[in-house]
Amino acid sequence: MSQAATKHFDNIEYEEGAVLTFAAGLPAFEHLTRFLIIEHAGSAPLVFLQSLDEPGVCLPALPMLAIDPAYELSLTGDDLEALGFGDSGRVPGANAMGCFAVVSIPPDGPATANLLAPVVVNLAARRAVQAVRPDGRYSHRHVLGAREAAC
Amino acid sequence: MLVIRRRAGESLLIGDNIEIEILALTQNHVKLGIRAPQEVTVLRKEVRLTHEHNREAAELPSLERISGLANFLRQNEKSYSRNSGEAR
Repeated sequence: MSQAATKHFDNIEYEEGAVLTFAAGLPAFEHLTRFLIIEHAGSAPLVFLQSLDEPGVCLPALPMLAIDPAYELSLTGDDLEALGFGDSGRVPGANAMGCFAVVSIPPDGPATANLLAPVVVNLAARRAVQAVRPDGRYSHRHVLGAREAAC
Repeated sequence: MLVIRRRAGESLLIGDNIEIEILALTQNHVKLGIRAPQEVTVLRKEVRLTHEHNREAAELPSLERISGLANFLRQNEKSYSRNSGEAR
């Protein structure tokens, strides 16, 4: 087991096999490549993408299908390559992947999820990419919990 | 918005040192070549939008605010009970 400092959960223990590698980082955090997905009972169904390189960087996220059960993933050749699916020449089965939307929870407005750029994980290889879609099919600010924010 | 018609192989200039050349066209795609100084950032727009959203997301509010949203989601989303996390 290794130890990591986190933004919200003090020090946590993790197994190296749980680490997700974003070879290209994420937009705005291109230099951060190693993340953990932290689940915390009080915050479910939200999870947290916690950087192992910079403890202060932690992004809330939601399983994509929990936001939109009909969400259709679209990955470019570069995304598949980054995930390690590039060699097979086949479209990977959906069971092989996890898919999350980054959630922003601003102090003065509704929480929004980025459906334009899903975080996609190759569950076996623990490789991940934030796959920014070139099409305009989904919003990068899909409003969540509008009523909650209004309270 | 300024609208300019160009053909493949033609260029346009923005300011003194940015050049955009239309390299190739297909029915659905246009391939652009961009010459710009190093300090000029060139980004696909959707990457910039994601960049801004990620920055905001990293400005995490208190755990209370997060719990509030989590409670709301648990109460209002029927689809959470199964299959959460993994794509089908």
